[in-house]
Amino acid sequence: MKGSVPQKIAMRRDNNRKTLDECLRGWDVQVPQDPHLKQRVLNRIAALAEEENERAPLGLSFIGRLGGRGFFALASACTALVLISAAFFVREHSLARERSYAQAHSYFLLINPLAHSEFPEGAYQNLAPEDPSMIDMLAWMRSSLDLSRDQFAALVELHEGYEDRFVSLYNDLCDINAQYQGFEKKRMNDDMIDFMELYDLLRERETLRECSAKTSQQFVSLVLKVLTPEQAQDYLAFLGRSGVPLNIPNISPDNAGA
Amino acid sequence: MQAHEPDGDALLMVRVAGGDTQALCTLIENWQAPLGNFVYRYVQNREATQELVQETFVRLYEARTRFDGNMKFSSWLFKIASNLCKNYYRWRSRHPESLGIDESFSCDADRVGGARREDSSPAEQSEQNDDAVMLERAVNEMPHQLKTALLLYYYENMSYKEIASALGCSPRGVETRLYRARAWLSKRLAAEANACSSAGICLAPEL
Repeated sequence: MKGSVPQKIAMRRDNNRKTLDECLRGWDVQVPQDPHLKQRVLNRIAALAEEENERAPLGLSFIGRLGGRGFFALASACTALVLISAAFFVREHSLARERSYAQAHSYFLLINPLAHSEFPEGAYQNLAPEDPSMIDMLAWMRSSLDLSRDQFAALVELHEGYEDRFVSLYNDLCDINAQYQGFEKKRMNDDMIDFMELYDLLRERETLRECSAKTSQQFVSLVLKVLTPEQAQDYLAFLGRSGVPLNIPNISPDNAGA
Repeated sequence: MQAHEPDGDALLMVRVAGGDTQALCTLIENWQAPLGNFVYRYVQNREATQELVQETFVRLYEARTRFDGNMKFSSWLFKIASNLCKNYYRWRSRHPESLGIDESFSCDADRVGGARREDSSPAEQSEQNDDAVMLERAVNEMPHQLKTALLLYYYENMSYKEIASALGCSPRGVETRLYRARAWLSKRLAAEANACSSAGICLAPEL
């Protein structure tokens, strides 16, 4: 026999002791029979059947018989899961597309100083809120275009080789644009027009624009040579998504791909 | 105590699954008393017992197509009933204002009828009443799993295997629950006996 010491002491000090089992077995309960139980159960069942029929008036009640509440609970849970997954997928897809456009635009401006200088600051702010470096862009291109190790190395070298030139061209173009705007402002307030100055300014600007376009075109041609035709197709499509006119003539995957 | 053929109940349940309400009425006749006693011991409230017994048979009918022939009918029935009792307790704990008059542990004529013997003296009857009230109070406070195992084992004469089916555990688990239930009850009753010098229960739990 097991039990704590206080229990044993309590047990010994009482002559009319009973074991726990005796005590439990002595608890006899006789709940009075309910004469109307059967009828009440049948009434409830009939009411439930009516409710079921009202809920499924279009012959759908057979679905309920497939598994009762459990089936509906499972079906509801599955439906909710599918809807949540679909909403999540649509949202993610939408965000990914937005990111893709923003990245395409940023990259395009990095490799196209002419376009970069001609579009006012903030015009594409919603598309390119960040200011990515060339290396950031390459990391993104590596996964987007599924570049091999060699392709990636070649593109890194190519981009690094052109980066300074692009920055320099962009600064020159910004300077010449600022000069031209200054000249226009001066001309509006002055009766005299220095045509020679205007000619030189326009010629210099045109030279810079041509140089910029040519450099970008040359750069894209070199990039396309590194890529496979499929990657080249994707690359050009991605440049096309930049939201800015490409302005790089004579470039297509057919004539520039690897 | 089950006084009817379990196989017969399973066959009746097959007929109920086919929509035979007459078979359901037979099952109600067979099981109304043991089920009522079980539920009353669990919830210790007459009105709630009536409602819960009725609800058990309604749920039994609703789940008629899911009856597992490998499971004993009594296990299935008491599984439904014990779950309803548990839900009732949960609901009651959130709505303490709903406590009925016979849940105040006042002496109730038919609460523990069997604990009194007609041939015992008034003093003995009083002592037996005290024992019964303490036992009821202790069982009432017992956790669900322990209480269900205890009630099914002591009052429904169910085997470990049948109780295991009702509780959703192994027979070994039932054994453990019964051990814990007895220990829990012993401790609680011993505390009450010490607190009340007039208590008539003296414990010798055979664990």
